[in-house]
Amino acid sequence: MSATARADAVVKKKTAANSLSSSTKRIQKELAEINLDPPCNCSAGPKGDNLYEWVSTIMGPSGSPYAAGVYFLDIHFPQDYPFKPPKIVFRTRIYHCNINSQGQICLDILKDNWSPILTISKVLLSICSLLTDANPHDPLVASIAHQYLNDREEHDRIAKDWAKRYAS
Amino acid sequence: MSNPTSTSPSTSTPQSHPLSIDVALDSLTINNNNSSDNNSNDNSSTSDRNHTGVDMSMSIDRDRDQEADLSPPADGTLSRPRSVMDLAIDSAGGNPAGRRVRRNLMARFSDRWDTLPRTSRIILCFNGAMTLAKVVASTTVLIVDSNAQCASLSLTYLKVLVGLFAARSAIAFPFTVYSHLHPRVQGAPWTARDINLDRLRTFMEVAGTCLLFLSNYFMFSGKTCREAAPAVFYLTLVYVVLGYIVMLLPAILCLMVILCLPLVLRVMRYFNLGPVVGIKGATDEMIASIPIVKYRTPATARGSDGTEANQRQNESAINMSERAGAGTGTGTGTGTGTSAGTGAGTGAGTASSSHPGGQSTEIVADPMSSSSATEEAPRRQKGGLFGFFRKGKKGPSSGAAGKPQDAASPHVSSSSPVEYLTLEDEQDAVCAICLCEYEDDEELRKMRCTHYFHKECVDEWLRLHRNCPLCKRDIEELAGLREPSGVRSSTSPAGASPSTGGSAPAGPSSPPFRRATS
Repeated sequence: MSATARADAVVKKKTAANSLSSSTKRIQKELAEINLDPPCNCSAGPKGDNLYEWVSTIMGPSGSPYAAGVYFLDIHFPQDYPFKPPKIVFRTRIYHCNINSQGQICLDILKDNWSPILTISKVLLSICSLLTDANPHDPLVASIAHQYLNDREEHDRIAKDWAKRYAS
Repeated sequence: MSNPTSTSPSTSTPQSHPLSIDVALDSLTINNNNSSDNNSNDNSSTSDRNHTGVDMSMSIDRDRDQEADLSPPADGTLSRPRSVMDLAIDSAGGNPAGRRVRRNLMARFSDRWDTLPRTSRIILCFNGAMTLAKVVASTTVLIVDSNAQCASLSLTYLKVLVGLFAARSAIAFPFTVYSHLHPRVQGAPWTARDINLDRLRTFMEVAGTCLLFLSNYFMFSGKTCREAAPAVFYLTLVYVVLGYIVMLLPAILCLMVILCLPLVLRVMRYFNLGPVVGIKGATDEMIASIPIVKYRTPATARGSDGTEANQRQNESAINMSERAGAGTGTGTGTGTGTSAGTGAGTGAGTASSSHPGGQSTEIVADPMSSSSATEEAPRRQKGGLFGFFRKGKKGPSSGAAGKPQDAASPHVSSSSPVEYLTLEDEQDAVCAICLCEYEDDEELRKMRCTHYFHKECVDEWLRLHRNCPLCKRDIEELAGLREPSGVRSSTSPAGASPSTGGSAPAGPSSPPFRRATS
């Protein structure tokens, strides 16, 4: 019993060490890929020496009320990446029903629907498309979602206003 | 949103249709073999029962096989609930083929018991033991103290209460078993059955509480009977104390969490109650049942036994059944055929064809045993043992079942036949999880949706989530898809399904497996 438990603990320790190195490897690969072939309107890279802390910029997609803005995002990779989703928050204020005032993003693939085959560039593309098409039926800020559904013009006007005020 | 499947081998779509048709056919004919798809069974359990008499005539032979296969622990725990459920069925349906129904029901019960989570089984066993103990104790005490005399009426009351305690447990137990075996599907609408069960459960709880307070009252009101009928008195005392313990269980648990948290955590982990393991992750058996292949780069494959391997890749989909029937080779091509945009040749041939004699049957046996036997074996042996134990026991008894674990040690993997995989398109030869290219002799898990990943990568994911990272399909569901098709082809004449060769990889190779093991 105790011998097997000890062996189990050793295995666990080993896998923990492995996951650290494997996550580093994977993040390095992603960094190489994103530098080689950056997704449109997005860029991302490590903040400093720490490979697990990235900063990203997203240009507001044209055709959306955020077109004028440049948005900064912080990306934090967990130690067991890619088995856990990265934590991504908006550092720039944005008027969007799926992004709250703390910058938290309500996006399924960052929570329950995360899959290890997703890369950071795919996630950034998803966030871009979230800016183009908000999802008012699964909102993080209910009042904005309500406005999005009922008074789209006013919503777009405020969003444009915020983009000018905070994101440019 | 992004489309993650675009860069990956999307070979699942052409295969899924024939498989699902197989399943539909199977669920029509053998409705007690599909134990792994809980949900569909739960929804249709009542209708199944009406069909039982008709289905039995068709599946009686298979039932006999199943009974012979039943594992000893399942048999041992069968007797009590089966008889109760039999009675219920006989009185309700009035089916003439009583024995058949009973046998069918027993098979169903054992299937369900195998799919139960360990926590449920422990609760049920404990519940059964308590009920039995209560009934036995009450009967004994009532017999022992039947002649006891007491001045006040409270002794009679106490005797009635002791009887009622036992009766309540005995009545409630079959319903507990039933509600554990047929759990309500999360999010499903409430049916009349659910409502009745719920009412019954509430009634039983209320009755138990009333009994508890009544006995409490009588025990401390009539002091004279303690000497006259000590057995009745002390048994009631035990019941009252037990009742209070059950009522105070939440408080006791809280106290334990405060006082000895590590112990509680360890116990919870043992019972699979952990927040991650219990809810979303796959068990080690489920992971181990997914077949492993070894990767071989196209250059190596051409270099060593190139011509043969290539030839096999081209022919595997067509000639597979013939080869298996003749016992010469083991092409188990995952015939991707015309699937969109992926390498057409995902065929895999086992390399060693130099031993045409006794070993060839073993090799033939391998691909199938890693797909069907591994699904059955862990399901049967899921008892209350530790994971390590199970793996150790499984290894020798059912060939490749232990292979996934043992494969780490080199001598095992070299002696047992290994399926090799070669992907012609280099863009496909990348593990989508770690983004590393496959290299020679690396072990890959071949998911049943024919998506490949590094063994280590996908195992870590499956321990957290039980779905394929690429297509998000539940691995248990996929295992269920595969199982009935194996059962079905075992009943058909050997090698008589060349048409399904390309679509269902396991189909043609199963008859040789059956022959090899029996």
